[in-house]
Amino acid sequence: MNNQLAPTHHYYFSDSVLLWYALSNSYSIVDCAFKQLLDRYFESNTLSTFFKHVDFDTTKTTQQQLTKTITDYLKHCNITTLSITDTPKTFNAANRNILKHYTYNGKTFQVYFGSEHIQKLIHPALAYLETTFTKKACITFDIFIEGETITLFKNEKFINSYPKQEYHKLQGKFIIHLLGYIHDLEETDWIGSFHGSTITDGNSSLLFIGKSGKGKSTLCAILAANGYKLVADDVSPLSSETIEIHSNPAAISIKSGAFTTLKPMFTNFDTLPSIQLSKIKGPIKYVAPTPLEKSHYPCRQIILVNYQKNAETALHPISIAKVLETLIPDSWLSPNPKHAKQFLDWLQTLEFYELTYSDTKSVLKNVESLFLKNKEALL
Amino acid sequence: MNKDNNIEKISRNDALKKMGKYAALTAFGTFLVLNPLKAQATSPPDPGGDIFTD
Repeated sequence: MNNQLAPTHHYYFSDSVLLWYALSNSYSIVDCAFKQLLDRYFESNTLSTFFKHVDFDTTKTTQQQLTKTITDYLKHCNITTLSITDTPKTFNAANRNILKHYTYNGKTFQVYFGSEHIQKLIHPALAYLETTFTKKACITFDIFIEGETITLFKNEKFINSYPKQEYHKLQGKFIIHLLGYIHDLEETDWIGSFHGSTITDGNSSLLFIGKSGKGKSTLCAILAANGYKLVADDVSPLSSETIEIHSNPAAISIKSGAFTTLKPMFTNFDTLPSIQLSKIKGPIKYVAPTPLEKSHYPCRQIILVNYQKNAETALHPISIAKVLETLIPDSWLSPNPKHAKQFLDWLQTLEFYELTYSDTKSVLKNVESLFLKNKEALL
Repeated sequence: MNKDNNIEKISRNDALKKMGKYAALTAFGTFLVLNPLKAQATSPPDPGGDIFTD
């Protein structure tokens, strides 16, 4: 059979298997019985030997249906998309309108923005790092908009451009380059960047995931106001070198819906920087993280967050499948086979929970219990 | 045939069980295929509003 279509890595959990397909960088969850069929399929040179080995006493029609199911499945798992390389845009210093300098952990960087609108995409989350430091920065970013395209340059070298309505991709690319600079890592040194927020007690960390609007950032702000520290908000990067989540300097972004909850927790809440991205969207405030003792922390649990007004707070274990259904489609994961293997190995070290919450007190107790569990595991 | 001697045959009972499962597997939804994002990104923007206009 065409072994090129076979999964490269697999990880068994309970009665299912997580498979990774190299051609497409796709992950698939199947039950163990189907994985066994796939194994037989790839071990056989012909369909007749395949059916002989699975010992199906079936009609020709059923065999054809089974073959179709397997081949359709494999096609689905091996869809490759052509990566279209953008024609590099030419750097033009005349586009530079606004310059901001920043310092994080002794590292300086500067960003030129083409306009006030573009500045709003990056600066508010980093405003707490702004400095008047005038020494030449080690790294310079330029972000410009030309026509319908928004473009990122690093040290005057073209990085990528995006349709302007996909500005979140530019923000993601900017962050990954900034993280590389801050942590002395290359873009190719990351296993992935998860759509989730990470909190630490100084020893281990918890990764909170969930669809936008499910309360991840609000929860992180609540935890940050109660003695925990933010490692990363929204984009949590996992390094291939450390297999730990590294800090992301971006401040926690808080939507207006959470202002009432958070206001009593921060003495300076009213004076926190606030931006209005557009006329019809509410304001966003940014809560700056407090400095961390370390630049990266081991993650022990992934928690699917689910804010529900008036719901009773509940923390309970959930299947890895339920977590991956949310985590993978919303995250960037490296297509490098070594990184995919590291990701699967990392998953095997984790616990998975769902946290439904509405009030602060009980959610703090639950988070505390998880950190306590991690501390006890280390003893 | 590859690894002829090492292939563990699935029993008839197992096969029947699997065929039962197979009937359900003909629908593609039974298989979960998850594709990560092709590029790094922050949270996708909320719909509505053009942030590039005043």
